[in-house]
Order: sequence, then C-alpha cells, then structure tokens
Amino acid sequence: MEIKKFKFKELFSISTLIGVLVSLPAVIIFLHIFMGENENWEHIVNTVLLRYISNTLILIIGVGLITAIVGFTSAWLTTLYKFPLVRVLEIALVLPLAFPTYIIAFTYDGMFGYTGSITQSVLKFFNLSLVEVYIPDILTIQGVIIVMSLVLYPYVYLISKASLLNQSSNALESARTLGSGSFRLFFKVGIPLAWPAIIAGTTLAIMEAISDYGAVNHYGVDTFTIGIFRTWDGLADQAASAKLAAMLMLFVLVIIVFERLLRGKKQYNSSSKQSRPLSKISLKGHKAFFAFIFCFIPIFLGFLLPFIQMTIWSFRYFTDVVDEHFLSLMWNSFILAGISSIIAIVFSLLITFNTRKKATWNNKTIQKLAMLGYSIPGAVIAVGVLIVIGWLDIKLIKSLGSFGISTGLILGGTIVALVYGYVVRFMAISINSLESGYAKIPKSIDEAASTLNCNNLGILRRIHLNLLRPSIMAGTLIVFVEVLKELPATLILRPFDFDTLAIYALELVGQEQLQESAIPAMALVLIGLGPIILLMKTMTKSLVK
Amino acid sequence: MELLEFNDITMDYGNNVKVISKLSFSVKKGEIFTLLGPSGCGKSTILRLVAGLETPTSGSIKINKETVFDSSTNLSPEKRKIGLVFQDYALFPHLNVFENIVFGLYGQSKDKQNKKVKELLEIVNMNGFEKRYPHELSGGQQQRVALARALAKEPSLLLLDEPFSNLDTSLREKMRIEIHDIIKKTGITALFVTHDQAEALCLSDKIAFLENGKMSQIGTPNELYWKPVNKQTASFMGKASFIETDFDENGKDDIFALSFENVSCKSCRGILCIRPELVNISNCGALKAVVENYSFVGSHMEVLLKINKEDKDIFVNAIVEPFIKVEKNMKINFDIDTKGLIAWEKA
Repeated sequence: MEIKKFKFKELFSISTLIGVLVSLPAVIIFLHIFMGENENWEHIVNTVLLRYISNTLILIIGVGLITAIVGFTSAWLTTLYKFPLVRVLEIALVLPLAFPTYIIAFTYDGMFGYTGSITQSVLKFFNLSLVEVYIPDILTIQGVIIVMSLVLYPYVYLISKASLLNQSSNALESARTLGSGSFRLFFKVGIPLAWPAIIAGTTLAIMEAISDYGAVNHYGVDTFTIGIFRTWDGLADQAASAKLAAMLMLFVLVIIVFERLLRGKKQYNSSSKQSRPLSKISLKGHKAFFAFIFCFIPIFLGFLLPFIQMTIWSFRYFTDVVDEHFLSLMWNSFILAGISSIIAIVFSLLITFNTRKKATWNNKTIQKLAMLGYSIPGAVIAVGVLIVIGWLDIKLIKSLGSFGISTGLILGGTIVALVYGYVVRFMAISINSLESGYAKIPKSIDEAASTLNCNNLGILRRIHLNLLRPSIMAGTLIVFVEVLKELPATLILRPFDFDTLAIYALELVGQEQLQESAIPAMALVLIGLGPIILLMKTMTKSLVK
Repeated sequence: MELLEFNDITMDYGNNVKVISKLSFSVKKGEIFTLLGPSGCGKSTILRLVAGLETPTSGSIKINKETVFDSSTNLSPEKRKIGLVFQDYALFPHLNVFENIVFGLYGQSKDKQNKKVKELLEIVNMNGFEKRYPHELSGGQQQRVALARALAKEPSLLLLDEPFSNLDTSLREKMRIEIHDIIKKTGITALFVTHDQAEALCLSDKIAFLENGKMSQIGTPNELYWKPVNKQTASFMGKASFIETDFDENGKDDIFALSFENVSCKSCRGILCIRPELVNISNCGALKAVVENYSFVGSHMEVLLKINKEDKDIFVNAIVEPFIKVEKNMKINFDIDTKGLIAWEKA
C-alpha cells in the first residue's frame, strides 16, 4: 500500500528543497545584518553610507509621490469620465511598462542632456549656444526620479483602476447622487476607496526604483544598489557588499511594514456582489481637454517620444551595431532567459501543486519562502547567490579533491550562478501566475480524477498541464522578459566576457555611444511589449465586459 | 451481502473537534443507501471518507469485502473500486464527452474503450454527444455524463454527492427518476448524499438520518416518514404538528383521547406527532376546531386548525382539497387517522 503516501512525501521533500534553495540567498544576506564588521565597512560607514541612505530615501519619496499622483489620477479620469479617445488612452496608459528604467534613462539623456538630440535642435532653431541659456541638468537625482516615474506609474494605474472598477461603482454613484462635486468626489470618495490599491501600486513602483542600477549609475546618483556593486566590484569585498545588501534588505522590509501600516485593515470590498459597470460622466469643453491632456502626457513622455527617438537611432546605427557579436549576445540572452523561465515554471508547478494537494502551514510557508526573491533587489540577491555558490564550490572542490580530482571553481562564474539568481529573483511571478490559474480549477476536478484511476502524477500530467496552459504560458513569458531586462544581478553574476542585450546597452552607454545603445535597448523594449500586449488584451476584454 | 462496511469510524481535523465519532453502518449489495441530514451534519464527510478523499482518525472501512481503510491500510481513491458523482459534476473542461468517460479506462485497448463508452451513452441516453465539450451541455446532460464517467470503470460502489442541487426544480424531479432507473438498471450499489428529504424518499431503498455526525435512524423511506424515532427526524422528513400532552396508562392522549399503536409513552408526558394528511375534515368528524389560518398552494389547501382545550389553544396543521371552501374562524369538524400517529416520551 502506501504508494500514494510515499509519492506525496517525495513531492513534499522536493518542494521543500526548492523552497530552501530559492530562499537561501535572501536568508543569508539577511543574516549579514548581525555579522561582524571589517575595515572596509568602517570606511563605507564613515564616507558614503549616509549618501547611499539619503539618495535612496529621496528616490523612494520622489518616485512614490509622482507615480501615486499620475497613476491614480489617470486611473480615476479614465474610469469615471468620458472624453475624446478615452477608450484608447485607458489601454495605452500601460505602454510605458515596456521600458526598463535604465533604458528610459539613457534615452532621455540622449534627448534632453546637454548634447542631447532635442536640446541641440532647440538650440539650433533659436540659434543659441549652451553657454547663453540655462538648460536644466538632467543628470541629477530629480532627473532620475522623473524619468523613472514615467515608466513606473502604470503599476499604480493598473492596480487602482482595477480596484475602482471592482468595487466602487455603487459608492461612487451614490456619492454623485448626493451632490458631491468632482473634486470632493476625488478626495473624499475616490482616494479613500482606492487607498489600499494606491499604496500597493506605489510600493511596487518604489521597489523597482530601488532595484535599479543602470539609471542611477548613468545619472550619477549613488543609491544602495550602486554601493553594493561598487563595493563588490571596486573593493572586491564580498563581506562588506553583503552587509550593504543586508541594509538595503532592511530598507525593503521597512517599506513592506509601511505598506501594511498605510494600507491598514481597510479592505473595501464591494458590499453588493453584482456591481454594474459604472456609467461614465461625459466631459465637455475645456474639462474634456484637460482630462485628455493629463492622460496623454504620461503616454507621450513615457512611451511615444522615447520610442520614436529610439526607432530613429536604431535605423541610423543599425548596420554599425548589428553584427555577429550582437547576434551572439542576443542568442546568449535568449538562452539564459529561456533556461531560467523554464526552470522557474517547473519549480513553481511543483510547489503550487504541493500546496494545492495539501494546504498545510508547512506547504504554504515553503511557497512563501520561494516567493521571497521578488521583493528583494537584484543586486542583493546576486550577492547572496555569490555567497551560496562560493560555499557550494568549496564543498565540491573538497569532495572532488578527496577523489584525487583537482578543479578550479565549478559553479562560480558560470551560467549556473546566473540562472540561479534569476530563478530566485523571479520565481514569485511564475508562482503567482500558476496560483491564479489553479484558483480557477475546482478542487472537485482533482478529486474526480483521483477516483478515476489517476495518481498525483496523472492529475498533474493529464489534467493540470492542460487546464493551466494559459497560466503556464503567461508565467513563462513574463519571467522570460524580466530575465532579459534584469541588469544588476546579471552584472554581478555573469561569467567573464559573457554579454547580454541589457549589458551591451549599458556598455555602449558607458562608451558614450548613447544613440547606438538604442539598438539593444529597442530589442529589449520590443520583447518587453509581449507581456504588455497580453495585459492589454485582457484589459480590453474586461473593460468591454 | 454487505457491500460497504463502515465500522467505528472517528474523524477529526487534528484539533480534537470530532466531525464524526464511532460511526458504523453498512450498505447491502444493490441497495441505494441515502445519507440524509441538514447541512453540516457530516454526511458529505462520510462520503469522502468512503471515497478516500479524507482520512479517518480510527475505525475501518471495507468495500466489497476488501479493507480499504484500517489502522494499517489506507488505499488511495484510485485504488478503491468506487465511482463518484460530484455536486458540480467536475467534468474535465478540456476533454469532450468521450474523453471524459474513458478517462478512468486509461491504458485499456481502444476497442474496449469504444465499446464501453457506447454502452454507457446508451444507458444514460446521450448517444451522439461524444464530441461535445462540457460547456456545450446543459446541466442535466452534464450530470448524465458525470454518471457515465463514474460508471465506466465498473466500480462496485457508486457515490453521489448532492448530485441534483445544481439543477432547477423541474429538471431535478425528472433527473431523480432517470438516475434512479439507471442505477437500478446497472444493478450497482449506491451511496447517496442529500439534504432534500423529498429526493431521499423517492430515490432510496434505505435512508440514514444524520444529525451532528450521529445517525439517529436508519430505515426504509416509509419507516423514516411514518415511524421517526424523534421529533427532529419527524420534522425533517415532512410537515407535522407536534403537541405536548399527557398520556394515560393505555397510551391514550389527554387532548384527543386517541388510542393508537405507535406509542412508546404510557403514563407519562409526551409529544404527539400528527402529519397533516392524517387530519380529515368532514361534517361527521368527532373533533371540533376553528380555522385559524389557511393558504392555497395549488394542489391543495393548507389549513391551520385551532383547538381550544381547557382554555389552552392547540394548533394542528391539516390539508384540504382545493375546492372546499374555507374561511377564517370557520367552525369545522374533523377526525384523525390513528394509523399513522406516533408519540414519544418527552425527553
């Protein structure tokens, strides 16, 4: 007998192993908070730490405020009001998500920097020179806050729009019948109702901002991520960079605690289950114009303008950049992203299946552990992965040595480390995707299969793999794209001389070849549009409904 | 022969709150056995324990003489020879009718599969639907496919978990008869769970009435309706008036002075149970009452009678043919048919 039990235990232990493996880097970094200090650390504390802290804080506050205001207001306008092109705008408002923060940052410098294309054309047009007029410097912390916000506001937009659509049509309509003017409606009903959503979206935007390496590096703003990279690369001090990473993790922890506090216990769910779609208010004249402009500007600045500029540059430098080297690094990127996304989805499938089979505290904890990486910046994870891999290498070398085989590093500096880092960082995405897929399959389906001569493996293979196909595809696709775009973890973990599209874009920018960098950047944006189009499709479906 | 033996089963969710405790019953081969009770009484849990979807804390379960659960055995659902029809049918949405039905025949030869499906579709009257997908079927059709799927692997025991609750009323009555006939045609033993007493009465060979994880009565539908062991069972099985009164040493009650067989209460205070259909209103009736209230329900009239006995009002439900004129406060005469009367000692 006991065959089923045995298999189930096996499944449990595999999931446990995955959970431990995937959460190990984060846990190890976290432990560094309590570890001793060396002289490099003292040096860091005395010189640059304060700057890292204050810059990171300013970045958080700036990006948080702008994304919250732009994201929620545009969600509010497109949900409540009717004005020209609102149907197009409400879908197009998510487009900027296709831009990684570092690419928008490079492109904006290329356009609005002192030697930028737009700056130069404007100067030429008025026949002026740089010394004659004041041109604001874009390479500042204000600059980085603005350009990042341009592509991060959709997080707030998406989540608060969903919450407005979901729950508040009755509340909003009754407020309207009670004679609340549009401003009072916005402040007294809209913001409080969508508050948890605004906070959730803003938190996501902030997390992205503090994970960024490329933009802050290029704009000369020293944040924690920069510090971690510099300490690891420049000082070659793993312990000190781990300690910095640990501090950044504390930051993240504080943000998460703040999020919970700010969100409070306020979970406004619709009191009546069947809420009709909200009937929109028609705007006329200047009101319609302002609403249109408010929603159009983020799309224009966050997507259209940089996209057009990059297209122009791409055509101009296509033959210079696209050579054998470029194709090989494109291949590298795809292989990496492919392997990582497949491993992530397979791991996620095992873990979510295990939780579905038995939703015990143990299994749920394993699942949560496996999802830890997503809220942790890539640089932090990279340092954690380095430590884990280094330790594994020592063990491996020793045990192989006892067989008389002498080797150098086995895992360190290989693709294994890189893939490991990506899986840790992005597994939460594939788990989430599968979880929402599983939520749509009634439990009785599994039970029916198990009464029909079907064991666990059979249920997974004959039922779940079929029914989960859309979730599996979506999860794999999003992880694939995220891996392609990921920069800091790649920089730290990549094998020597191993380039990806993202790294190449950064290198070109580093060599003052901003316009040439548009080609790898464009490739990333076009690939990044994949999941965005998927998202837009589902949005159109649900909005039409 | 006992096909299902459910012995001394205790079940809790590890927190010492017992869902069922030391429960035993058995089902004979070829019987339709119904677990009936209000929601939360544990009837679905029993079904799931038999299926192997839940694990008992102690006890033993035998299906067709084979031990499927005891202290050293716990067969997984796919190894117990059972078929289960779910409340939501749980048809596999990515498979068509044919593929759903052969799902449990995995690994058998194509010829065998085709033959079996053909035979089953014949039985459930769904010929020609092989290529349809579940979402292209009506509720009743889905249920027939679910039944065919459960029967495909020729289980020795068919389990049905509230199979009619997702159907609308008119279809429900039609499917009841249909499913009953299919089960009897195949000769399979069935364990059926419902909270609907009408369903239980018309489908079952035997009914077990459950309350808070305990079986208060097991019997034929007739026995449960006419000889319920207590007030809870009686009122769950159908409308009745319950009147508290004294009984003399011959079991004659103090109010109507009726003498009848089913009285377990002599020289004591007890509860008299009168089903409305036992009350006959006629001019030559020996008992007198006033119409307190009435309502027309289509096939008949439901009337509430008020009887004044020593300055106390006693109320009795009765049913009356629809064409008899009834008015409020109308004085009437009536009789009570003592054949179906029952009384229990007051606890």
